[in-house]
Amino acid sequence: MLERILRFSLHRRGFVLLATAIAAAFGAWSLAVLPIDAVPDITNNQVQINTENAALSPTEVEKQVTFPVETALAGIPGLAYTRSLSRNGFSQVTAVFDEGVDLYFARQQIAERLTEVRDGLPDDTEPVMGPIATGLGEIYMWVVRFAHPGGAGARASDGEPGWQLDGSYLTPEGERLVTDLERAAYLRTVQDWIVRPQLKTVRGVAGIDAIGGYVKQFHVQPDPALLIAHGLTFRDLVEALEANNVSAGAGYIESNGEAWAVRATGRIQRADQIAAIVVREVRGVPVHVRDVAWVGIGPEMRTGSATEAGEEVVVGTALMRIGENSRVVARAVDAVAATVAKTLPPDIEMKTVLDRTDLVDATIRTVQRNLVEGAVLVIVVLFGLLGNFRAALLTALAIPLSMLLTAIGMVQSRTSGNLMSLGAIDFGLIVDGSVIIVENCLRLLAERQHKLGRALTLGERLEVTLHASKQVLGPAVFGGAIIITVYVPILFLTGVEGKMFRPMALTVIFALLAAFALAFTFVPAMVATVITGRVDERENPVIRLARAAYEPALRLAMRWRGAVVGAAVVLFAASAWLFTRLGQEFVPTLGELDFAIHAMRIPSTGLAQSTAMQRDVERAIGTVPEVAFVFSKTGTAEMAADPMPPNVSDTFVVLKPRDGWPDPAMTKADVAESIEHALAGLLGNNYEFTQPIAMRFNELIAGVRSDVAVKLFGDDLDALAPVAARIAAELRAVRGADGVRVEQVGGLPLLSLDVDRDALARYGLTVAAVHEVASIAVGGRAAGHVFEGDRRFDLVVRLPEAFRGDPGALRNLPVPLEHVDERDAAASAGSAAGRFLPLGEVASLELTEGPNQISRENGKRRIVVQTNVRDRDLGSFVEEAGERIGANVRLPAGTWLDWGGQFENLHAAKKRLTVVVPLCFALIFVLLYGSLGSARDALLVFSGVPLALSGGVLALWARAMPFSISAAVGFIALSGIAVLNGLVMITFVQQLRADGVPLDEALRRGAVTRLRPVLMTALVASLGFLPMALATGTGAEVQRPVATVVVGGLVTSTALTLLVLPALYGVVARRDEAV
Amino acid sequence: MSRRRHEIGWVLGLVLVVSLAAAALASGPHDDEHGSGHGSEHGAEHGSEDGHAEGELAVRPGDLARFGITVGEAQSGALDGGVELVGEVHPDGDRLAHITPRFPGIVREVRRNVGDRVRKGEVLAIVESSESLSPYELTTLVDGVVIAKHITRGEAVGSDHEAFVVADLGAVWVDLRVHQKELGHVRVGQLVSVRTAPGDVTVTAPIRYVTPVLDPATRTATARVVVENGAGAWRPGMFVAATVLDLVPVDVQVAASAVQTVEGRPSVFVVSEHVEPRAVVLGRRGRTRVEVLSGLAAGERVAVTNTFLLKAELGKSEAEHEH
Repeated sequence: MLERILRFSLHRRGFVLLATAIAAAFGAWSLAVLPIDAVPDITNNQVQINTENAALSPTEVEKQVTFPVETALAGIPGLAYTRSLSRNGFSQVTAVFDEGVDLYFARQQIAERLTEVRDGLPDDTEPVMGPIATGLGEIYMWVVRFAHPGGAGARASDGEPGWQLDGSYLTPEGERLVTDLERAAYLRTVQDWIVRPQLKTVRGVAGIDAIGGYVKQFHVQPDPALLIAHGLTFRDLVEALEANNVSAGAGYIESNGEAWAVRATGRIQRADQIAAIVVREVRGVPVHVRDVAWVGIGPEMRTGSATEAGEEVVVGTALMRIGENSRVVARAVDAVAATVAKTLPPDIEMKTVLDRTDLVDATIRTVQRNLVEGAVLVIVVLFGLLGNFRAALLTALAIPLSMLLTAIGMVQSRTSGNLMSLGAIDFGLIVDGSVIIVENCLRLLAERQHKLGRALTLGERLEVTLHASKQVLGPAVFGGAIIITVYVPILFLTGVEGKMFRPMALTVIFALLAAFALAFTFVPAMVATVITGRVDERENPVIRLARAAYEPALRLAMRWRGAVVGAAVVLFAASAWLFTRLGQEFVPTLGELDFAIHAMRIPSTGLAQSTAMQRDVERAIGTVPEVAFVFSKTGTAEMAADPMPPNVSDTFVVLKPRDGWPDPAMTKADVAESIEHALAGLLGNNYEFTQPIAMRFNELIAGVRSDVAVKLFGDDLDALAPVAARIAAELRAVRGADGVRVEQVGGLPLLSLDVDRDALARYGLTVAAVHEVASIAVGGRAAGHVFEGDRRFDLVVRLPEAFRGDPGALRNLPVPLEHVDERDAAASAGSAAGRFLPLGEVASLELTEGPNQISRENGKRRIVVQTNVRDRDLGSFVEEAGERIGANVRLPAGTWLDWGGQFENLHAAKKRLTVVVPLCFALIFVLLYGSLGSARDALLVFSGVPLALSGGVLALWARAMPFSISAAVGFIALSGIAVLNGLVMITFVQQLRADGVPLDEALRRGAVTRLRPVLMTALVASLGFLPMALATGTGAEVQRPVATVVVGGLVTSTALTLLVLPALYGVVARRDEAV
Repeated sequence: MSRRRHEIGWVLGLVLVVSLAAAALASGPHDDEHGSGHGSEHGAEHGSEDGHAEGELAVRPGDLARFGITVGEAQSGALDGGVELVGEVHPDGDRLAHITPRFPGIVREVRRNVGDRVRKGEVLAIVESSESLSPYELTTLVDGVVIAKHITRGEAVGSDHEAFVVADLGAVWVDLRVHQKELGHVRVGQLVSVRTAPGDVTVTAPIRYVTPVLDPATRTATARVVVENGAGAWRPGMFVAATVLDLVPVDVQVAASAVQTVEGRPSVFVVSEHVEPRAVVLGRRGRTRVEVLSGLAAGERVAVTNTFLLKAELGKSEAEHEH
C-alpha cells in the first residue's frame, strides 16, 4: 500500500506539493492558536469550596462549616474524594473528581448541593467555589503601590490631589490620608474599585485576586469607659448606626400631570456623618457617636498582606480560565492593564511583576532557536555528506513541515505545547526517514547518471526515485514504527506523571507520524522534481575520508570479531554499573526565570509580625545584585485559592535579565546561594526555595507527597496525636525510612473565654449576652454599608486596637446588666457604672493552645504520618512497617489506619507498565521480524539498543548529570535510532546474501555502502541536538539531558552499528552455517 | 519526588533488562535493583547544625540590636499594674452642706446662685416665716461653692425643703465600684491612680474607705478615694477610671514583653555570652511588668523587645508549609 502511495506521490507531484502547502498553512494557523505554556498542566480535576467566617475557631469551623459542606458533597457522580482543611475563620473543602468528569458539570452539581446546605450554616457564612482555573492560572501579577512611599521625594503641592506638603496624601475624592494604614487601605480601594472591574472583563480571565493593603472600612471604635459612663452598650451603638443609615423608595406622586418618584435619602456618605449620629438622648441632651467612640477609616481584620521591597503594597493576580491560551490572555490583560495604569490617582502606580508571556516567549524562543540551529546544522551535515545543496535543503525542509503538521495534531487533540513536549522533539530523528530516502535516491540517481553519462529526464528521475525509495522503504517504515512504539508506554502513565509526560509522548508521536508521512509523499516528490542537475556520483571528501578510515577498521573488527563483541559486552556491563551510580531525579527542574521562596515562621506567628519579618526578608534579598525586585504575599489572599496561614509568606524574587548581572555566567543555583547567604543573618525564618509555577502546582495537587503515608483516622485529635507519634516512632525504626514527619495539628494560641455559669446566674445574664459583647468588641460587628458611588464599604463597630491587643483590657469589657432597672440604678447612687459588669467577673480568659488546623479526608478527621523510602523497595518497606505498627501500636476504639502515599500510584503504574513495556518490546521485535524475516537477524538488530544506551549513560556520567525522565526520553529516542541504523545495514546485507554474495564479502560491502546513511542519520541526529545539549536558555534544563543522551549515545551507537554489528553478525551467522 | 525517581529507574531498568535479554549474546539476567535508589536532596532541614549547645540560639548578643531586640535587666521593685475600676466623682460628704429652712415660710430674697463661691456664715437667702414671725437668714454652714439651688423668690418652702447645697470642692470623693471578684485586691490605704475617662487628668491617692456592704443590685462595694481638687478639674458627676496600684515590691520582675511561651512554658531569653531561653515561673502581673518567682535572678540580662523573633528562631525548624 505504501508503494502505491509512493507511486501516486511521484506521479501527482503537483497535488502532493499543493496538499503539503495547504497542510503547512493549516499547521501555521494551528501553531498560532496552540496554547503554549512553559510546563505541562498537572492540576487534577478539582473544585475548591472556600468559606470564611472570622468569628469561628478551627474546631468550630470544622463543626459548623466544613462538616456540613463535606456531607452535602457526598454522592456527587464522578467525585473521587474530598479533602478539607479547617483553620481559624476559614474552611476549605477540595472536591477532586475523576479525570474526564466535566468540570462545569461538577461545579453545577456542587452549586446545587451548596444551596441546600446554606441554611444550616452560621449566619453571614457563604461558601464560594474557587475560580475555574488550574495551577497554570496565575498568569499575570501586578502591584499597586505609591511611586514614592510616604511621599519621600515626590512633588508635593497642597490642595491638589497627590502628596501634600505635610506628608499626607489627598485623594481625588477629596479624602486626606494621614496614616500608613489609611494609605494602605486606599491602595486596596484603587485595586478593588478601579483596577479589578476593568481587568475582570478581559476575555479568558476567570477572576482577579487581591491580597494586601486593607479593605477600607468605616470604623466606630467605642471607648468602653465612655460607654459605661453613658450607660450605653455595644448593641445600642450598632442599632443606632443601622437605624440611621437607610434609604428608601416611596413610590411616586403625580402632581400637575407629572409623575415624581419619591426618594427618601438617608445614606451615610462620610465619616463625620457617622460621628453625628445620636445614640441616645437623655433629658434632651443627645449622646452622639463621637461622644463615645472614635470614628474613621479602619482596617479590616485581614488574613493576608502583601509587600514589595519592604513596603506594604497590594498585589493583584489575574487568573486564567481553564483551557485558555495563557499567552493570549496574559497579553490581553497586559494591554488593559496599560490603559488602567494611566487612569490611576496621582503617584499611585501599577507595576507588572509577573507576566506569563515572558516565560512563554522565552520558552518559544528556546524551541525556535533549537529548531533553527538544528535545521542549519542538519543542512550543513547533509550538504557535507551528500554534496548536494538542494537535496540537503529539501531534507531539512522536513523539519519545519513536520513541526507544522505536529501543531495540527496538538491543536486537534487539545494537547498543549510546553518545553517538555516541544523540547523532546528530536529533529534529527524526525528527518531520519527522509535522510535515508534522499540518500538512497541520490546514490541511485548518481549511479544512473554515471551510467548514461548525461542528465536524466523527468521520467527517468521518477523511475529511479521510485526504485530508490522502494529499496529503503522497508527499513524506513519499520524504523519509524519502532520509534513510535517506544514512546507508547508513556501514554499509559496516569496521575501527575501522565499529565506531565503524556503531552510530550503525544507530541513526539505526532511529529514522527508527520515526518513519516512526509518521507513517503512530499520528500520523494520533491526529490524527483528538484534534483534535476548533475548529481555528483563521486563521493565528496568527507565521505571518502570516512571510508578510508572505516574500511581498515572494519577489516580489523571482522578479524577480531570475538574480541570486538566481548569488548561491547564489557562496555555495556560497565555502563550498566555506571548507571547505578548516577543520581536520579524525576524531571530536571524547569528554570522559570524567577524564584519563589516560602518564608516560614512558627505557627503562632501573627500576620503583623509575619509581615514585619517578611519586610526584612525582602530588604535582605533586595541586596543581591542579580535581583530586579522582590514581592511577597503573606497569609491568604481574597480568593483563598491557597489558604496559607499568616506565618507563611510566598516570596517572589524576580531576577534581572542575565546581561544585567555582575557576572552573567552565574547559574541560577549560584544566585540562590547568594540569596540564601543574604538571608542567613535573619532570625526566625525557615526557607524553602522553589519557583512560582512549581509552587502553585504543589499547592493545588497537595495532599500527600511522600512515598508512604499512614493516615490515621478518628474523631478525637487529642487521642490521635500520641498514636500518630507512636506510628512515627515505629516507622523510623524501619530500615529505609527517611524524613518521617507527623502532620502538625496544634500550636495555635487561643485566648479562650470560658463563661462561669454560676456567676451568670447570679447576675441574671445569658451566655449569649456575654458572647455578644466579646464578639462585637473583638471581632467587630458590621452595622451596614457606606456607599461612595459604586464603591461600597462596611461600617463596623469594633474596639480600638489598643484594647484588642491587650488581654487584660478584655477582662474589663463592660457587660450590660439588663435587669437592673432605672429605679435600682438610682438606688445604687445613680451611677451608670453600676449597670455594667466587667467581662472578667463572669468569664475567665485563658491563654491556651488549640488545634491550628484540622485536616479531613472523605469526611473524617485524619493525621498523616509520612515518610520517604530510601535504598529499599517500597513493597517490602510497607510490609515491614505494617507488621511493626500492627504489633506495637494499639489503636484506640474508633480510630483506624489507612496506607496511602505515592506508593499506591506507583503500584498501579508498575502493574500497568509491567504489561505495557514488554508488550512494546514484543511489538518492536515483531516489527523487526516482519521486516527482516529472521528472528536471528531481528535479535541482532535489537542488540544495538543496549549498546547505544551505553553511550548515553557514559555521556550523562561525563557531564555529571542525573538520570531523569528527560534523559529517559533521550534513551528512548536513542534505541529508535540504533534499531533504525541496524535495520538499514542488516537489510542491505540480507539483500546481498540473497544475491549469493559470500558472508564476509556481503558484510563488508553492506557496511561500506551503508556507511554514508548511517553516518548521516547519526550526525544529523546528534548535531541537530548539539545546540540543545549546550544550551543555557530558558528550558534548557529540561532539554539538555535528552540532547546529551542522544549525542553521547549516537557516538557509541554509530560505532557499534558500524563495527560491532558486522562482527556480531559474522559470529552468529558463521556459527549457524557451521551447524 | 523520590517515588518518581523510583519509577523511572524501574522503567528504564525494565527497558534495559528486556533489551538485554533480547540481545543475542546477552550476558545473562542482569540485576538492576538500582531502580530503588533515591536522591539525597530531601530532608534539607535547617536545624541547629551550627554547633551550638542544646537550646542555645545561633545569634550573638551583639547582633540583637540589629533586629530591634533590646536587652534589659531583671529588677526588683514594685509592679506597675493593678485592678482596674470605674467610678464617679462625688462631692466630699464631709465638706458638703445641705441648707434647709428652719421654719416653713415664703422666700423673700435669694442672694446667692449656683456656682457662687461662699464663705461659712454667709447669707444665701432670706425666708419670711409665720412660725418664726420674722424673716430669717439662710446661711451656709461651710466654705464652698453653691452646687444646687432649689429656691425662688416668693416660693413657699417647708422645713424639709433642700434649698441650697453648698460644697467645698477643694477635695472630692472618687467612689469606685468594686466587683465581688476584685474585693480581695482592694484594701484601705492602697494607692489608686485615678484618671478622667478620656484620660487627660490623672492623680494618685490612697483608698480611704471600702464599704463593708455590697449593693445587692449590682453586687458591688464602693471604694472611696479622696482627691485634692484645688484646680477644680474633678467635677462631681464625672465618670472616672482608676487603677489600684500594686506597690508590694517583688524580688524579680521583668517587662511583660520579655516573656514568651516556649514549649508550653513561660520563658525569657537570657543574654550572657550567648542567648538562650530559660523557663521561668511567673507570679503577679502588672500592666507592663511581671513578677518572676523562680528561674531568674535580679540583675540578669534578658531580651525585652521583639522577643518573638527569638522564639521564632528557636522554633523555626518546625516551621513548614503543609498543604
